[in-house]
Amino acid sequence: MASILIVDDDPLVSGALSRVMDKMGQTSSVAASLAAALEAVRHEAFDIIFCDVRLPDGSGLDILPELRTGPLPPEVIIITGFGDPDGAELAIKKGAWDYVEKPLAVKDVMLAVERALQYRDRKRAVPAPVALKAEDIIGKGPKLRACLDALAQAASSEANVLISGETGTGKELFAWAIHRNSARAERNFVVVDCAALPETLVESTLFGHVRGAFTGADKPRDGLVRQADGGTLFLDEIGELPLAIQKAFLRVLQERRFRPVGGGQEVSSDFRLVAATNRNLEDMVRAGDFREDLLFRIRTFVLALPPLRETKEDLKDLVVHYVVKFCDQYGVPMKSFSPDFEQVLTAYDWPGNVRELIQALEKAIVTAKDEPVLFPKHLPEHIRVRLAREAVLKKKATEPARTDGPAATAATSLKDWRDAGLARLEGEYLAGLMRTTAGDIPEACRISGLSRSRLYTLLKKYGVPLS
Amino acid sequence: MALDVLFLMTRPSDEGWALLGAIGPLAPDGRLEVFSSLAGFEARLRGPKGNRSLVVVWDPTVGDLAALAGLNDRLAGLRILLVLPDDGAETVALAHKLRPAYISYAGDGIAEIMAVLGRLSVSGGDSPKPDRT
Repeated sequence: MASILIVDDDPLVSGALSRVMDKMGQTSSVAASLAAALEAVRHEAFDIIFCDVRLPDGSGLDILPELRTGPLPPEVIIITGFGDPDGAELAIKKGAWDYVEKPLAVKDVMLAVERALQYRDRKRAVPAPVALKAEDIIGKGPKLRACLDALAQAASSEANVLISGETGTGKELFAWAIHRNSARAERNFVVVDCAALPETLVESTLFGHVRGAFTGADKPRDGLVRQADGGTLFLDEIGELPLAIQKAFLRVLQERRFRPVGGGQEVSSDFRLVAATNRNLEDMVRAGDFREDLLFRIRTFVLALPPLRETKEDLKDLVVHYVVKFCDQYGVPMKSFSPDFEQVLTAYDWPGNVRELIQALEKAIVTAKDEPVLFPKHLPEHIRVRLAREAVLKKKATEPARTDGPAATAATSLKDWRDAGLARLEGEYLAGLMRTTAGDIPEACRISGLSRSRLYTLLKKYGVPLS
Repeated sequence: MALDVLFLMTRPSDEGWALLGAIGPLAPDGRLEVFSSLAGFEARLRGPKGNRSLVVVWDPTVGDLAALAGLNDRLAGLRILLVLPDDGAETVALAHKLRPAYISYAGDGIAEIMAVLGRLSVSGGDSPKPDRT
């Protein structure tokens, strides 16, 4: 008998779902808000969670990572509004098992539950993996844990993996960890840094060349694809790969065979592909800059790394880890942190992600030398300047509208002034929109022309309550 | 855009000097630091890296490569370009432990590695390699 949690504030929906679960011989409980759902998962291990998108205290999609915790996290089935492709897409992208549309069809619900339970049975049958070798990946927040779970799954398979994430989120580190934890760990992990390769060198670098293939080719050379035989080929920044090479590489992926530059004989290589990108490859496909067939091939398994601003719960672990490391490296005494040092680290949004944090901490340790406590003044200036500017702009944005003359605007750039004004107007518009529609999201979407996901994002950004 | 380079050459040669000479204009105003021993290079890595973002290793021995692999933690955040003495399996396997951005071979001249450095200097790709975190 499986344990099901139904998260919906509409008693008609939760009652209907409970009856279907009863009929299927499963036990179910109900939570009517995000807070109640999080409380429930803290006390009981569920197999499946039905979760409505729109709840009184926020969007169900936002707590997906927190719901999916534990050694065998529950499968989440999102309940979306009828004909809401945005909601469905977002649900799948955020890691939901499936989605069902309102009004709920009993057949659809039962099918989704049966499939999820079958999947869980198979997952239970798989022997528990040995401890993951990923000591360089710091943090234990729900989003990072979900990434580590995905890493473990990727490592135990031979599927092509696409790692996406902003610059500095640790894509190479995850690729390296996939390799180290895979059956190919004893063989080469071969990096192809597509961003560093001039177009003229890409082909011979990847596929090698025979003697005399071009001027200066005095000796035959194996390419990186061949050197990855038996191991892992890591295509970093795959979005930078020229279109002509994409075509050739697609064939290599399909057949694991290729022809070195100038060569007549095909060569084989049994490599496992891991690719990474900080670009939106789907947009690149639409723009004609990336082959759709190659995208389909490389994203058998997708690992989306969150930016640091979304995993602030890991900040403290990261800071402690790197401060200890740098103090040891530079032979200076261990530091403690002033409260405002921690506040600055938390307030900053880290556009350069973990990479930027590491650089900032290294700078702080070097600047502080033998001082025992780290203060904000030890951090790089650009971080302190940015926070100061944001604080000023935030204060301005929350002030009541005034007819400011040139003297009031002279202290900031036109762009910052315009951004602050726009932010204030957007916030006011959304508050008014929610009042007018009494929190009716479909109506608010209709009036504003915003998609549901965009509307939720903006409401969250400006702290506008749903009703 | 100027490059910030740490250059390691434990076995000087005419080609190595030629590469160093060619990198010079790409890394002006003290942006190029040259090391002739692993010990000196290792000591440098113990200090703040500042803006240094690129490591070029010319013609390392197998022993050099093994020692560099042991420094992987300190090489984090740096883009590594290797010019290997040969393409033997042991050399290549050790080289890949450093997760280099580019590998070329001493016997093949310096045109290819200069093309990579040229691309990095144009694209600003000498910024710290983002994901060796």
